[in-house]
Amino acid sequence: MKLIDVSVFGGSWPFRAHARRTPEQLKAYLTARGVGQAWLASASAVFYPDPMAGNEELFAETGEEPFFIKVAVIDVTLATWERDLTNCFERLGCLAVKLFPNYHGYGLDDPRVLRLVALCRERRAPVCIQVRMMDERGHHTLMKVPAVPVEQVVALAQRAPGARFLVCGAYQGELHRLREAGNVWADLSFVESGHTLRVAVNALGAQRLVFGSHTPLHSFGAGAAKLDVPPGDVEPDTVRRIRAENALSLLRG
Amino acid sequence: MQQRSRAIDVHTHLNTPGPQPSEEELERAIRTARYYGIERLVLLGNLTAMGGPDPSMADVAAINSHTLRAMARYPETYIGFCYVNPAHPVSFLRDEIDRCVVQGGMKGLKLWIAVKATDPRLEPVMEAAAELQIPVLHHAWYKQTVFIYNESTPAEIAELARRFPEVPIVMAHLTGCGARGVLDVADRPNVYVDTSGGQPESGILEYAVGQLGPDRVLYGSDWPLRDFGVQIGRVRDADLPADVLERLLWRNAARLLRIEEDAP
Ligand SMILES: [Zn+2]
Repeated sequence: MKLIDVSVFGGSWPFRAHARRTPEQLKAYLTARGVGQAWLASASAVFYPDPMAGNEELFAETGEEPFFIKVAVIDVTLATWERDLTNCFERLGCLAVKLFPNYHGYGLDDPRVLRLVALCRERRAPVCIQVRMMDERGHHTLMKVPAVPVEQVVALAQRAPGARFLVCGAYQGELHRLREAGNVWADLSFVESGHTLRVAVNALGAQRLVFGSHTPLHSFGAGAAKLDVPPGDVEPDTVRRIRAENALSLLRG
Repeated sequence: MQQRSRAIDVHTHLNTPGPQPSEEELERAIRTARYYGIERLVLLGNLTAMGGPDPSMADVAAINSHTLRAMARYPETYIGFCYVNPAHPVSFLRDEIDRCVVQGGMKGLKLWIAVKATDPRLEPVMEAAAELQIPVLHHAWYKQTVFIYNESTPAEIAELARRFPEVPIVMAHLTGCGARGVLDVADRPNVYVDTSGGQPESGILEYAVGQLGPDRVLYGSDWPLRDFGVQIGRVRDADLPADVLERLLWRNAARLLRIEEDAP
């Protein structure tokens, strides 16, 4: 089975030169590196006053390309967020939702989040929480954005046991704290230590880790190397799950 | 999966404390490195588990003895760097560098965060490096948060390089130093950068090669804080020609460390 990458961004990110790639370029780049399917969200939507503008422009470019799973960026502090969510599912064909609580200025204990989770659950769509976009040490001097505490994700997930959550951007040291909520998956995009995969599997288990590269903000080759481990380091069956099977269960429920 | 072109890793540590290096740790590091085509490991010392930010003379001696034992155990893999704390008396600094480099065969000096790169007490250390014609690898980072002790910025490394133009300085942690850090040292031809540090951000490697040229960037991982595969994967997947990658992975370090150029 081909690799599934759950963390890919289109649009642009203001803190990086030349990071923007069109969906067509992303598909060519990722396909050449063995990816069969990519979850795509708009990085522009993080900073646009109305994230729907980011969703609309990215998914107009993406069209019906089956390579991409479209991920809607929703800001629950905007008055029309419920309508935005419906539009993302029904008109833009999104199959998952991504939240940026730290960039959009709310906590995961906000009642609107629980409502969003319920609406996503009705559509069987997973809710992705991007806990960080960059290493906090390297943030812009005028824009230091603390990471979303993973405990907030655990608390939310425990209040919504029928929903499925994906944490994107957690560090190695944060993974074990996600253990207590059985409906939370985590991507590998910011996870690293000596023997990354073995340590991550020990922390969160083989069933709930998924591959995410954070393309184009991180090097794809660096991310892919996390799954390319010396013989005996991690069970081949576990690697297979993390390459694709876990992402399929996360998406389909 | 990766193209396994051979490599020298200029930035590694051990982190099991004790008078002897852990045989299990050495063997595991070498086996993992080899899997990714990394043949030689520059060992900068067990700094975190055996000394902390401001090590005593006894700590420094213990760390360097630990490194010497790793070199003796696996001479075909480990290249030691002598760790020093410039706050120590000049006589101790001179004796320790003599013990490790002249007698022990280490190939460079390591400076971390005990004092700033601009501290006048670096003078005897840099003079020893000049005399012995060996490089100095120095910690550096530009940070907005999580500052550690007396860590130096790339601008401070540039100032050190200006004062000691004859000493090759490897500025650690390219990703941590960022574009601003690369520009700080761009006009200091005796400064090299290693590719370690922080998340594997795309683009910064290509940027560094563009600003510094292909001969002043060296692959380094910061193992075991970071992963050999991830850190070399970002180099091998960079948008750079094969001959430039070969310099980053092998030739630049081989030249700096005076490793015999055998045919690949
Ligand atoms: Zn280091």
